[in-house]
Amino acid sequence: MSDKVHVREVIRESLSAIALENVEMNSPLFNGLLDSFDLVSLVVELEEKFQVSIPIENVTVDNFSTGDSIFNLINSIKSKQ
Amino acid sequence: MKFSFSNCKISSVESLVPENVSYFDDEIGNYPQSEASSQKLKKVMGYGEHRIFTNPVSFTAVATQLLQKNPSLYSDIDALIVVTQTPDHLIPSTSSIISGILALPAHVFCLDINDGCAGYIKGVFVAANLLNNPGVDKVLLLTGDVLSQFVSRQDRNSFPLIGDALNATIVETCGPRSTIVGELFTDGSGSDAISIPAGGSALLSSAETLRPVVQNDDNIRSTNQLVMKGRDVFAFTQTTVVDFLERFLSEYSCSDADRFYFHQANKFILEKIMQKIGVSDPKKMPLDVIKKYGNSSSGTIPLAICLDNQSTKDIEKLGKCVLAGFGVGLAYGGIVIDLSKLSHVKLYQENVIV
Repeated sequence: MSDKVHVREVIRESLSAIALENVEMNSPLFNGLLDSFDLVSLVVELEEKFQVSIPIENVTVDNFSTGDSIFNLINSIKSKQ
Repeated sequence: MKFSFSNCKISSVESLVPENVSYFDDEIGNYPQSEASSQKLKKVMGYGEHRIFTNPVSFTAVATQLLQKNPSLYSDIDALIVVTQTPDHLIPSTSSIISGILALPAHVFCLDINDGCAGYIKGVFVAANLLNNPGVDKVLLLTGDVLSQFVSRQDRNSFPLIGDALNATIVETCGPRSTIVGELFTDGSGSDAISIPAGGSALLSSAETLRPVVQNDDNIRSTNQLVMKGRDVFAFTQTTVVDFLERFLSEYSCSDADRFYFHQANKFILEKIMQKIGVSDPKKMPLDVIKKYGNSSSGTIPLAICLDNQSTKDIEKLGKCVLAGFGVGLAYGGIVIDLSKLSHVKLYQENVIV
């Protein structure tokens, strides 16, 4: 299991990379902040930083609804590797 | 809907794309979004270059230029099907216009189909159906769009994706062991996900509909131009299409297919689909159309065949192939076909001056 603080930090960096600076981990990302192009950019950003492959069926609004939900998704994928 | 045909084959595919290359890097300044976010999308979506006609051009003008390359291929057709979203006019049908230009005999059946991404599958389906009729042995299927004229150059959601292209496919009768099986579906509840809202009977063109407007997503377009609801299209592809492809490929035992020629939507979604269906050899699922030519709607599948042949020169070695399209409508479908009977494949890159 990834270190929680580290994972959260990388997620913050990834959100920042798509121009979502200072977004709280529990902020709703699809409340006008993210569109589908941001979502795919974020997926690629996360895949590169965590060296994981996020299956397409996991690229859902629910899984990317907040920084916390992304944290849970990444942990879930990494735990299966 | 499921379908199955015997005694028919695809014998020829020709494509014409504009010689003019438009580079995403040169277009970034047109988009309202920041250069940094555009550069990120370039990498993720595969935006690099696409082919667009620089001058106003009709579907018929491009089709006529293409069909003049090898007229003997098309001299004895019994039916002409046009699949496009960019017809010459609302009235008459584009197939009628082309019939007149080619001086086709009156018995040649002419039909227009308004469709895009799954349009090639629909066109092959209709062509194969027609071949069941007495006296119909050869069908010319024209597919593709000259869509760049209907897309705002200040709309980053759409313009970098699209490409102009037109293809001519011959579907004809052959021995009984040559079959085409497939499925086609439409989820009309999502029909507004990809649209040109104005210009039809629901919303006539007016000075108001022609006026460019800054949209909620910062893109600038009029209601006479293509609008793509990215989130709806993505959700459709990521759920409905992926589920369909998984089941379809399993049901028709496609793991041994030589090629997966899929509609070229964007790099991200195609690579995710590749992972999902377990295709690891990039040669088996060519992605070059979206990277080099752009998304030409019903043109991408035959263009992929032509481009693949141009680079590998081994089209004669092809056997079982899977063709699949998905998008506007929201329509989706696929066919399994033996392409070993495909004897002529050619890609032309030239501009069309009218």
